[in-house]
Amino acid sequence: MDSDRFRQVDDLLQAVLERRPDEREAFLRHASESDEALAREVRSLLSSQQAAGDFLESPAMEMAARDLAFE
Amino acid sequence: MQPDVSEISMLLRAWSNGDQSALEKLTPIVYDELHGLARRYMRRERPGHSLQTTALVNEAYMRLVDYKRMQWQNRAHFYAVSAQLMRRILVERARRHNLKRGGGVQHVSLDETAVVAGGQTTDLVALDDAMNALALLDARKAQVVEMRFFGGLSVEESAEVLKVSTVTVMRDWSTAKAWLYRELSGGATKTAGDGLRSI
Repeated sequence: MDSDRFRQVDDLLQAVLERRPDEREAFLRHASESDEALAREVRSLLSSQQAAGDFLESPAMEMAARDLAFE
Repeated sequence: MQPDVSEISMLLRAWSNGDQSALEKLTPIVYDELHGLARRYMRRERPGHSLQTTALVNEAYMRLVDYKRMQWQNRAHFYAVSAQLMRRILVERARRHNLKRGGGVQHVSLDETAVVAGGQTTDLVALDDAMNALALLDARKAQVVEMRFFGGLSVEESAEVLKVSTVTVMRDWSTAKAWLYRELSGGATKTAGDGLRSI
């Protein structure tokens, strides 16, 4: 993937996220037109986003400070 | 031993102007300082309370750097350099621990290389690699992660550094998080068809 393609994925992902959950699949299908690879990539990222949960939400120093203190 | 503030300030400036050798000299000094601070903070910590890590990092920088005399371009520049430095220090530290254990990332332990957040662990070395890959696609998104995760900066502070709106930072953050999570969980080739149904 190059950066132009990534921008396309990012724009579509963010546009999908602005839609109500029950409208997202229809919107995605319509917006990606016949570009099935694009739709697949956006679906994959949507799924990661849901699975990510608290991933990266606490600063790295949070735990590192504890480790540092006991070194 | 109290570090020499003017020397550190000089090194920080040299590094932010592109002198990589300054970083080599800077890292152990900042690391020692953080180490000492972390010990003091842990002693003060009460059970059930989280470490005041933002205060810790701020205190480290305030001790290390004569901020007022630094003549940074602005506060944002200082934040950006700090976040970059924290990333380098924490990732290098994780890398050393990985090597010590034979280089295996499959045995990431909770107490050494990984950062635990909400019950999940993050291998900082793998994250750093993934962030470098992300930077090739979209440099600003990798920077947002550097600032928020490694620098501990808020959305507003990150927006100030990057000279974009807070909405843009939040959008970058959400896409970057999803992309990095997929990289780190090895799911890049997986087709996640059920992503929409369960939202």
